[in-house]
Amino acid sequence: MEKDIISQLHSLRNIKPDEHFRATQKEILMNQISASAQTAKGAGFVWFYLKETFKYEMSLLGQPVAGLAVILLLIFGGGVFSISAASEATPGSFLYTVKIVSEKTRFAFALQPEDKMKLNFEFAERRAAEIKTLAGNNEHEKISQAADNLKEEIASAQKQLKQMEANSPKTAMAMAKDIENKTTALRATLRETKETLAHSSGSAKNKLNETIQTVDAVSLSALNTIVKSADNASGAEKAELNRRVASKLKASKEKINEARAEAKVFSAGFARSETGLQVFLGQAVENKTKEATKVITEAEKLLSGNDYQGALDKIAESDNLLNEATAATAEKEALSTSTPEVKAETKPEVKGVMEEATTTGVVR
Amino acid sequence: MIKQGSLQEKILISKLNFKNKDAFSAIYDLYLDKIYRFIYFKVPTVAEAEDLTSQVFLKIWQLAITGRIKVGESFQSLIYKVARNLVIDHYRSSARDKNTVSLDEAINVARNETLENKIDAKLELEQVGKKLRKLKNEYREVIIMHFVDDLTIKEIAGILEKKRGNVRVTLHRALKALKEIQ
Repeated sequence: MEKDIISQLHSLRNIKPDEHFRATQKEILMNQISASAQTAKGAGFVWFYLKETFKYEMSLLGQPVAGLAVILLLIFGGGVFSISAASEATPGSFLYTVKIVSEKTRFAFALQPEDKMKLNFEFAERRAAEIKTLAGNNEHEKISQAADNLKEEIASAQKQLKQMEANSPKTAMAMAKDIENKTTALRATLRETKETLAHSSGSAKNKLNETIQTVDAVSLSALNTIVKSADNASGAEKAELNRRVASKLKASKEKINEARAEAKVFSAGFARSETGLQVFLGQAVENKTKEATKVITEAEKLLSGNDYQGALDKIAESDNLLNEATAATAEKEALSTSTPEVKAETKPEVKGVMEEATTTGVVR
Repeated sequence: MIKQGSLQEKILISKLNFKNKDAFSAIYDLYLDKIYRFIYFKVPTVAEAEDLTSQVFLKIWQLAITGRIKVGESFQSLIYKVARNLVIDHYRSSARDKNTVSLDEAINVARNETLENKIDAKLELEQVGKKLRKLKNEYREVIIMHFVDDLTIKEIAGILEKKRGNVRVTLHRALKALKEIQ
């Protein structure tokens, strides 16, 4: 019976102020306080806010060691004190922790979703740069950490957008455009890095694929937000929208070619004993990419009829198919490289029929 | 979403002390629902609840700009205290019956939900609302703070300026009294 009463009491949480009151009262209050308010201080005053924040904690600490720890946090945690060496640090180094703490502190200071989103992308771009450095230094095992952090930053940016969509659709539109632009640039950087890993196998490449997929998904989601406002768009805005969707379509076609090329490169590395695996992979990827091509063709037709949402839905469908193809390649790669004797073999030369005939004297 | 009591909130309070408008806006968003609900069960009408809620935030601003908000102390306790004191002052000045809760107004607030949910919410609110109405203010207050607003015993003790043991006993008695109401 107690549980019932408590459950009933919990239902009282549904009592909230009227939305009209919420919005109008806020405006009234902000006007009332504006006379005594001050403009937001810039990054230079971060030190003062931190000092104020930790003043109470420091007064409670009678121990010099704890005080030193807090001072270190103030020194290394504030944006004002970011050390230039820390900004170049990559996962695994001591200064990398300093770098991340500094980023988290800057994020904590950002109040508006737009500011948070900008920081998310700044940090995501740093992660992409770190991944590039790690790939260049053959430190593949550390790529995973940076890639996971990058995905978190992008997910957080998307969360800010969703929050803004609920509160202010106009600002959300501007944010969505910014996200779409930034994810396109981010994708290009990650793709470039992926190419340097083209002939390596293992988790680093797969992690990069996953990260690119996350970036693509967020990019598409942002474009969906832009499309939702398309009904009231002017002629120029519709033209811009058309250009964005067309660009997304073009990117999808490139992805199809990439998926095919990846499967071919990988298949060429199979040992003779894995012919079955080679055929299976070839078939799986071929089916998916064929289907994806068909879907993209449908998307093009929808775009030419100005059905932007329909086109985006088809692009999302195509992306899912390609993700499945990529996953199939990764799965078979894991099966292939799991056998030590296979790894030890040199890569067999893929010969054409006539070449083989010349060598063996047999024409099949 | 900034969590109450988190480092982010502390930084927010620091900024508030520096008369930062954005920080005030964030504090408003963070605490509006809870403060409104807290006051709501203490006054007879929605209009009074809204008016007093606004006054709470204005009071917080005044405290901030005169440097009377300490970052290390619980901001949540402070804002609830301010709300509680404003309601007490309101009743002193208007000399109204403190034990009245307007049930019809409570039901109206659920108007943003679907029709089916509205009916279910109405029935549930009617039942528990009637019971709460019959409780004395002291009991109703702790029940709302603990079971509706999820405040801890320690936080409630801070707001009511009582010992934790006293609050625990009051809560136990309040729940028992609520169960006994038909």
